Amino acid sequence: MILDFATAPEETLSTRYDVCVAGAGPAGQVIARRLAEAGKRVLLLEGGGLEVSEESQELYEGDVLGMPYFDLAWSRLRYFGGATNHWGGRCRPLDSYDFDRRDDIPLSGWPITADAIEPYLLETCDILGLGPFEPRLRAVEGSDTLTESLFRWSLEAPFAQLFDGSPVRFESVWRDWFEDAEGATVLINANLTGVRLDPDRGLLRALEVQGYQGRRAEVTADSFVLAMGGLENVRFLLNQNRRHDDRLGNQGGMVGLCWMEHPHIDIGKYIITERVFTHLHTFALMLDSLHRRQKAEMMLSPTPEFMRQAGIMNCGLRMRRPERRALSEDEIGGSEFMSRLVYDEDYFYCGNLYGAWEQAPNPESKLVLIDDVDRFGGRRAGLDWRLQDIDLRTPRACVEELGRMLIRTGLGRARVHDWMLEPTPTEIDDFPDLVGGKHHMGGARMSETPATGVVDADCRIHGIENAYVAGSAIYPTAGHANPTVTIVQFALRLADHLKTV
Amino acid sequence: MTLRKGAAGLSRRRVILAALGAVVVLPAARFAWLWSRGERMTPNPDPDIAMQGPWILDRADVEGEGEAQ
Repeated sequence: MILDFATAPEETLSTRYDVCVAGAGPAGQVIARRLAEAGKRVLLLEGGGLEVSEESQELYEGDVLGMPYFDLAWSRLRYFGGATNHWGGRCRPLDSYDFDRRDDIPLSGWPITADAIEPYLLETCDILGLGPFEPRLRAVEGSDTLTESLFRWSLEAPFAQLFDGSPVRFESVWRDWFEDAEGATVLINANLTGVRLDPDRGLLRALEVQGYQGRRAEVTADSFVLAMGGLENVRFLLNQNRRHDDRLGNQGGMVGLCWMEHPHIDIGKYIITERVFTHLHTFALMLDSLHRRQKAEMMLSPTPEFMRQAGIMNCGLRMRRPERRALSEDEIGGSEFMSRLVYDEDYFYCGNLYGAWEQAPNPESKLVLIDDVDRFGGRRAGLDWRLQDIDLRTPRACVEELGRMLIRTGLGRARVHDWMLEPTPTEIDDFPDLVGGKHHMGGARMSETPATGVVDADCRIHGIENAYVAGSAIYPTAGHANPTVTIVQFALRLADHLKTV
Repeated sequence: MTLRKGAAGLSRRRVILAALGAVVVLPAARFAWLWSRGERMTPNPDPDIAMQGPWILDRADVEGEGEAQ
């Protein structure tokens, strides 16, 4: 059933639940439903209502302290269904090697392998309305450094048609199920404001909840899950660690650190010197299927060997559909060779290269608390997102590889974006076109010990026996894939773990 | 076998040949024409890349040896 915290009967609040989940986005809903179906009594707390409201979003206000970023209040949604209520539906699992520790990348690697969540992929695809992913990676002839990689969309639309249709939205997809569920109680407008700890036994005893009209309550359960999103989980942990002497996973001072995004930007351009794609190179055939609108875009990613050799992170380099037009003077950019090429004689298509790539773990990129407090007394978030040189070397190295491949096959040429030509790109004050993907990751990273992270391999908060974190805040590294598939995979895994507790 | 004349006064055989021409020959001719116009740059299996402005080129492009063909 779904109840409003303001009017919920007292016995709903005084019941001791098996599991209490805070946050009704995809992670929270998946965990609550799976546990309720397994016979557990579950309480699902949602700070917002069933629709978006200024009153709820206002609690997400915060400051941007580092690189330019979206308005924190609106880069996520604080109501039933969470950020899936405005997402684009782009889906892809992490690559298996995204979990590997790399000696050349400090703080890289997960304490688990991809095998830990692989069994949940098919069920995740079903939940998100996706087709199968296989084959995920295809070798590209003419290059031993790049593979073609696939996204799918959580849309009722053919794969080639981008953004036509409506992605799965958790405000509605399971709402009827929760309305009728016997084992799961959803409390909306129930804001998580604190925790009651048993520090001697390392247990979380209760969550403190407040409503917008002043009602307060403590809810108790055997286990607790924080599933409030990649910024809010971290802000809540930072606030609670101030109150509770760093006992909630902050023994090593890692809460908030290594916060990550997927930088997105136009990273180059390409021309094609083939009028029709007739020769049997796989790369030409891939271009042909892109040209014929059989695929939405062609996405190339570095192989793990190339990533290590070039000292770069993972990247999704997207070749946008080729256009039949001549390059502009700006696009030629002063290249004597390119200015000599004649459109419709020497080259026939040009297209944009767009990219989203993996940010290397960086303790300087972090979420902190600022002095301003919200209406419930919690200090607001300050986002200090920062990039390092490696984060800008990654897309450039991938475009250069594409350029090499076009030269090897004789199919064309590629260029990089002007900002990549700067000798020290991170000293540029302003990247007018560089944005994140509203992918809030890290800050409560998974690690073997509190020295390098906040939760253990089971997503349990270091130092607290019965409290867990769900969502992308746990990612120690994030590949280049949009985070939702992995969020749902980990939510299913965590629910299975909690069934056995 | 005697073919009856169609409405335009053409024999069936000619109608069939014209249809075949439209379906097979003309696209093939167009394809050949496009193919003859569209030539790849010279493939280089072992490129030594060089930057010219923002473009990633074959060193031969920059040194004037690799004109588009």
